[in-house]
Amino acid sequence: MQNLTRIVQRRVTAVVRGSLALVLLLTLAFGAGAQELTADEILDELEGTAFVGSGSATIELITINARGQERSNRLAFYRQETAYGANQLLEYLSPADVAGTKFLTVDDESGETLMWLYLPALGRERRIAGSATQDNFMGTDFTFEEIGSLGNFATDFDAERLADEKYQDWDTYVLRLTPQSADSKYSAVKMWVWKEHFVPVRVEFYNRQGKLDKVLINEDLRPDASGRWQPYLITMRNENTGSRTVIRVLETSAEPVPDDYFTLRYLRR
Amino acid sequence: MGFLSRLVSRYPGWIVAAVALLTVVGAYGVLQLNISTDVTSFFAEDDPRLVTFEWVSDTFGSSTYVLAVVSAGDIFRVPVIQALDSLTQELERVPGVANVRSITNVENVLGTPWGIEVAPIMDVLPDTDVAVERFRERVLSSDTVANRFVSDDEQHTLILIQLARNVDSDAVVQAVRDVTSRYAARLTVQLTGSQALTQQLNSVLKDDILRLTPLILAVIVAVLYLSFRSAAGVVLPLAAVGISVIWTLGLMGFLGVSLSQLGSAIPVVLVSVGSAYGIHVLRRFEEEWQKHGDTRIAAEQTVRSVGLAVVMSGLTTVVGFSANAFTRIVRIREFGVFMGVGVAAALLVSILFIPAVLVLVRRHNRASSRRPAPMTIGDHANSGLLERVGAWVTQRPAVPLVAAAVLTVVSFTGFARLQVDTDYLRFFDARSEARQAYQLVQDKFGGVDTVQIILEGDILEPDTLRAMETLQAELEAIPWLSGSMSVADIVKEVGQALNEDDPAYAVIPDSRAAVAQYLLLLSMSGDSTLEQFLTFDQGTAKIEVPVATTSAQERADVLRRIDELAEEILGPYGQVHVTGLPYLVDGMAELITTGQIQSLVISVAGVLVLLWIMVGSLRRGLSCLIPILLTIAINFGFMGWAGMDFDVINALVASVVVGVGIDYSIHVYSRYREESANGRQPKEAIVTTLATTGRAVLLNAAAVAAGFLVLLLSMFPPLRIFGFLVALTMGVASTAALTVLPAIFAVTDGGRPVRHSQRADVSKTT
Repeated sequence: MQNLTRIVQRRVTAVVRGSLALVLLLTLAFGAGAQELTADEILDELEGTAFVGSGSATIELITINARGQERSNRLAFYRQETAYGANQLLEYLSPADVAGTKFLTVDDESGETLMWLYLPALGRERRIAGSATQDNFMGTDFTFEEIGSLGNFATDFDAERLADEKYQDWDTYVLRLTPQSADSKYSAVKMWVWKEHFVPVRVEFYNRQGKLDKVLINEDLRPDASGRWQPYLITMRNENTGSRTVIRVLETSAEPVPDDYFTLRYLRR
Repeated sequence: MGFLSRLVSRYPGWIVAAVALLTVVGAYGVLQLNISTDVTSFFAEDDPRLVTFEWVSDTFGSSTYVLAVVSAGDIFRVPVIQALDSLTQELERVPGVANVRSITNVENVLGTPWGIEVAPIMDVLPDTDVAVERFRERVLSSDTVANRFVSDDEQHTLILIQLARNVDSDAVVQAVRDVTSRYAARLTVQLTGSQALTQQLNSVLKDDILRLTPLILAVIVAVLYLSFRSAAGVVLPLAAVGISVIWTLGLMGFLGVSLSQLGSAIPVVLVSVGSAYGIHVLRRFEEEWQKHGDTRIAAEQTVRSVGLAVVMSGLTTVVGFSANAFTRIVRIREFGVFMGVGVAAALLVSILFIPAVLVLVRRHNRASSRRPAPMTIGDHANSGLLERVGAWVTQRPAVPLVAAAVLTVVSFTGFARLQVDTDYLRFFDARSEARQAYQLVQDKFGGVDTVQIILEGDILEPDTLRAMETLQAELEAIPWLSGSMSVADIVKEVGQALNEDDPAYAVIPDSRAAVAQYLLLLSMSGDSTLEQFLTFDQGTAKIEVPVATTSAQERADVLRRIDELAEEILGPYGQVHVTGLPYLVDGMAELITTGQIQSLVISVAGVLVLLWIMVGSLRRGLSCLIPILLTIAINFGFMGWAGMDFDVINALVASVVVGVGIDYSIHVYSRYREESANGRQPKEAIVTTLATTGRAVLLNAAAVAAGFLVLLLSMFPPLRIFGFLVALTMGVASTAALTVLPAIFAVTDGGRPVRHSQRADVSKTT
């Protein structure tokens, strides 16, 4: 039983961590247009822009399976920096049937991450806890590794700079990244980074057999309220299964989130 | 005919060159030929049954699995579980395999003090007896896992292997087979399921073609040698059928028509049937050459005289086979059409190519240096016997006629016993691995093939889910149906898991929101089972139920009951569709009964029209048809009384009878008319006909029968029965042509000499 509980915890943690990483992903990258940069310097530019702090975002999450069937959910994320780490809340807004379903994570003073799940139909919350895996994030085409690693390219990968390319309308740096960990699902990652604002516009993930596994495409690039450039349309395509996940960023805000969002009382509201 | 005969005598080189060129092109086409024995390939692409089946596969993923049945004295032992685990992992790595499920990796929804969990039922590989026992308890405590994967006696377990879309399934199944065979020392593994069966059929089919082709050639060589006792006599007719086989298969290759288990009979039938034309042409050429001593004149005379007769008997054969073009069973249609093409090709090659080669080869030879080809063996013995038969028929014509009538009546009573069976398994020997594994899955796991009931409606509504639950309960009350699965089961599983695994909560919740949230939670946990039972848009759901049928009749009854129940219970909640492999198999039975009767009527009518044109009299044409109708009646009567089921393959016997058997009547009638025209009395004419043409007819029938008897060595039981039935009917058709037909002449013409129209010269047929 102990064991099973641990597995559950791992799963749900993956979901919540994933949501954190997603926010990171959305807010990746801005910087000055320095000219002759090394691969690592380019990565550092991406790294340096990683989101830390407080704020909220509303997104539409569209999953499209290999048969072209679509499912769409609207979600809100809230994040708040605390003395022990961060508090985060993920809430389903639509469709109506699942609206009000929430996940809450709180880093406590002992360094442990506490998690709660709330299903309105059950009318009560359940506590959960654990650590992350390679599992797919919320049944999408993103795995935790992919989402998480976007913020950690410089530390987790050896980078090599290839010849610059014109990718669609953008002048890009092209990087080839090799994971340092033997546990990675990937043998290589190839990334096209828009020179002007250091936004990755295309990322290709190659599996252990060297075959193209997934492609991440960032589109609809524009500055957010704080002036940082970010993609408002993110597509992850699984080349093996033909399924896709599309994230449309509807709204972002750097406004601090009130404390009471991260309470059990709010969860049940 | 005059044009053709001049063509042969003037441009023999061009003819040989053109035939050679076409044959090279045809051979290239043969290399393009695919083999396909898939049950869906029997249906037309726009057949509604197939359209629904494909739609459901596209919507929910393939419903067909490769099933590996693992057998051991007791599966819950450390070495067995460990081997099973490593086999499962190895199978997952086979390219083209999308998904592998066994008890060592299957996921299960479990409740925990914290929430729910979709996790492998085997968390760690057990390495002690105690750990295995704990694993066993966990497996058996989950009904969904235990029912699907473990037999009640715990001696067998299943591995479900789902192939990726758009892969060469034969190659993948072979790769899977290679992996399982490496485990032979540790586990007994047998593969079944439609893709594995198809792969095995295809490989058996290839073996069959490779094995039977030399045998059929040997039979034909023997027949040809006995007829001509010369190298040319063997080589030329053989080359003619060989060329027509290459043209036919080449055309199929170019048109992208793949070779099915029926198509594999095409070369055999073509060689047996087509060699007769070469024999007629060659025999006549030798005769004319003796007469004129000049190959060009001999060739011209041969084509002029024998050509028309051969073309006429060939045309009836073409019509007999081509009538199958009207059936809706694609494979039978292909068989009929390409047999028609093949016979036409054999005709053309026999008439043009054989004389052309003879003109070229024998140009400088002196005819007189050669002796006439000896006649067939047993000439005199046969002639003597046949003369006596002829005399007997004229004296007592009532005897064969009454015998024919009695046989017809007896046969009609056998019709009622005929059953149509289109079970895919009939293509396998009872002892074959595929069939035994299939039987094992049927006995221990509720069946290999599943029926899918599809509902388009508001699935998340609790009432809809409860209706699905009710339908499943009703279905499982029917014998042969068990282990059904649907999204309702999944929702109940989550309900139980969310409530500390309390079975009291394994119910459909009362609100639509609760259902939606349960499913959201499940999809967030990365569960892949849900997608097989509910579309992403949550508007279409599937209920899957394995069918363990033992007979065509039971299956038809069960399917009808499923239809009724599904419409009655789910109808109020949306649009209901029912499909699955059992439906296709059942649908084929219906196509056979309606389609084959229809094409039989068409072929008989077509042949009658041809006969009418050829003999210039409807009454005479009908007389010629009587031996064929009698043979068809005896064929079905025999099948009924012998307890043989009617299936896709032996449904073709009747069209072979019409196409090939009619030749015997034509030959007998033509000779009889020739003798009558020469002023003989009917009795005399009959005796002479039997003594001369009768011998040739018997020989021809024996040769065709011998060719078809080679099919007795086929690995496909239905092809063996097909070979036997054709041999039998050839015997009946030739005997009837030599007894019943003359008896009809004796009765109708009485003592008068007969006047015949001279519309077509078919007198020198043999």
